[in-house]
This record gives sequence, structure tokens and C-alpha cells, in this order.
Amino acid sequence: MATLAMRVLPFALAIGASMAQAEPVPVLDDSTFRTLWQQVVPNDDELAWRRIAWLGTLAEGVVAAQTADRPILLWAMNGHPLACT
Amino acid sequence: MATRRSVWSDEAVQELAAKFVAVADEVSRLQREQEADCKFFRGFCEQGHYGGRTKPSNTRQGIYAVTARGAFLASVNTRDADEVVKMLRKALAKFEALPRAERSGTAPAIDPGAIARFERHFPTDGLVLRAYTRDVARTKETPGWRGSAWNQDHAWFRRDEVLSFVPQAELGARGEMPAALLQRFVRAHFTDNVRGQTFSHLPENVAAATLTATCDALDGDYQLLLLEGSVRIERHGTWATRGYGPPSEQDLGYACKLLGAARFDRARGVFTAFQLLAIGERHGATEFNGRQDDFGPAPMGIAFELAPADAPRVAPSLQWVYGWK
Repeated sequence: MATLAMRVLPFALAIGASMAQAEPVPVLDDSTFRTLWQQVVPNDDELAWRRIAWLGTLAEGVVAAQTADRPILLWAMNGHPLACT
Repeated sequence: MATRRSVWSDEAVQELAAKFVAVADEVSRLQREQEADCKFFRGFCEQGHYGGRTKPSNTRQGIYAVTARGAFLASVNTRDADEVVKMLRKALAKFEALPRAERSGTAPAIDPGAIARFERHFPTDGLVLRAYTRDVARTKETPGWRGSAWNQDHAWFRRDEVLSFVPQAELGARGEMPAALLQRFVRAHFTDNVRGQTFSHLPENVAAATLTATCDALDGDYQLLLLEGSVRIERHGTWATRGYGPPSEQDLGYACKLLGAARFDRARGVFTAFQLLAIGERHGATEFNGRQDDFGPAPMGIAFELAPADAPRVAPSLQWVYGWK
């Protein structure tokens, strides 16, 4: 026969799983600003893709390619690839 | 966003890309609108990796190579740099085999000035900020690219909006960002897009917001400003929390502190430096923001910095919040 604890435990575990523990939020002040800034802003390695001289609209690319007699490389995504995608 | 690292950071890809005019653009508009650039795109996007399919698909995302006249050269949709290298080499070979008049024509096929898109509102004499979002100080580990994800956007302010919160040139003078302007800033840019796209906030979701600029130092025409404030977003409603998942009752929020500094050139009426950092706690998930297994509460940061003058003119992702016509 299942004890009370055995009957309650699955329910308690289910509640526990759904109650996510909050993770501590770092304090933002004069002393932590620089460190936190560097954690949020991407570093040079993460920004290596910007070494390509991207234009931001296809129309600009059409004009530039015609003028320079070069092909167009188009990276097209849901959400602008140079903004939020 | 993983493609930024896996493909476009690759040196072989970058070397080949230099032989092209490289363009990035938003595909949903190109697929659906009637502007000249959209029709130009639809002239080639059904070829290549979307060609020959037997079932309709909803997106034309990918990497395309075409001539200035819109002739298809090659395409691929991948996060594999080697695949992109192959595609670019193939495209270059096809391009070089075409006579100049045929591949590039004698005049541009599109007049950008005739296209009505949000970029025409670019605030040349205002303030353009790059915004970065990223999780900070996480104790929960998420494997793969989502665990180290970050995203970016752009925040725009017109000149009159900038001047509305710059204080007098007196030490200790304070300027408050006007409520309507701050509400727009928060609705469009204090969102959890770290792992993917999300929706803007509604006006009623902005439970509290302040942003104060205090004159901290004066140096000739320059005014050094201390930026301080806080934001609290609370939202309840019905939406999906994973891609194409069933909608259900949800909560989301973000409560953060703001701190930063800026340098304002009073003679020219422009910012010459700007750093504003938000650190706070977010919770919740939306359909496409990749939080389906990470509802929080958890810390998240948003950093705003002055965009370089020569940066591509890319509109804010949630531009409809701006109401600029």
C-alpha cells in the first residue's frame, strides 16, 4: 500500500519542477559596470563576420554591383541579418 | 544568428566575399511586397535551393549569388562554411563567363530612392545606437549555440528627440527622457531577443520606466552625462512559447537597472560617445525567441552603444513601434 508520502511525492516533485529557481542578478553599479558591459557586448572574435563590407539593403547592392561590375552576394534571413534575426 | 560565426567569420568565405558586393537583407519583405527590390528578389529566389520542391514552403531564406541584372548564379541555405565556399566559387565562375554588358548592364536595375522602406527615416543628424542582448551570469547551462547566444539591433532617435533629454550645460543639471519617447524605446528595445526574434511590448506592458541624464562634467563644447534609470515590463496574455506551438496563458517580464555615460557635443548637437547598460531579471518565452526550455527567471543584459557613422543603415527590427510615416 502506498504511504501518504509516496502518494504525495509525485505531486510534490511536479510542483518542484515547475517552480524554477531564480538565478541571482548581478549588481549594476560603478564598480561592476565595465565587467558587465564586456560580458554583454560581443568581442572581436564574435564580430569577425563584420569584416565583410555588408550593405544593408538589396537595392544598394544592385547599384554598387552594377557600378563595380561585380556579382551580388545576398544573405537573406527572417529578421534582418545585420539586426535581429 | 549562428551563421554569423559558422559561415561569415570563416577566412575562406571572407576572401571570396570580397570579390562580391555583399548585401544582407530581411527576406520576409522581399518575398511579399511590391517594391522594385522585392520583385527583383522574386525574379531569382525560386531558382537554386528552393527550385524543384514538390511542397510549398513559407520562406526564401538563404545565401544567393546573382548579377546586378538579377540573373541567378548560385544559392545555398546552410551554416556550413565549406558549402558556402563551393557556392561562391561556382557563382564567380559563372559570372566571369558572362560578358560585362550582359552581367551588369549599363545602368542600375533599381533606383533605391524610389523604394519606400523604413531606412528612409534614418536619423542622419540624430542618434543611432547599436543594441546588444545577452544572458549574463547564468548558473543554468544550455548546450550548443543557444547557451552563448547574443543578438543585436538598432535604436534610432531623431534630433529633436535627442535634444529633449539632454540637460542644460550646468554641473548637476538633469534631463529626463520624455515619457512617450522612453515608452517607445522600451517597447521596441527592452525585449528578450537573445536567441531569436520576439514581439514588441504593448504600451500597457511598460509598468515603470525612467531614464535620467545628469550633467557630470563640462569640457569646452562637450558635456559629459551620467545616465541612470530603471525599467519594468510586465505582460500577461496568450501566445505560443515554441515555434508553431499551441498558444496558452503566459507571463513574461523584464525588470532592470540602467547605468551609463555619454558625451554630448553641444556645438553640433550630437552625441560623440554613448554607453547605456541594462542589467536585470527576465522571465517567460515567446514563440520564436528560443526560450522554450528556459523560462527563467534569469539575468539578462542589454547594452546600447553609439553606432559608427559608416555602419550600414539598418532599421530597428520592431520599427512599427516608432510610428514614423
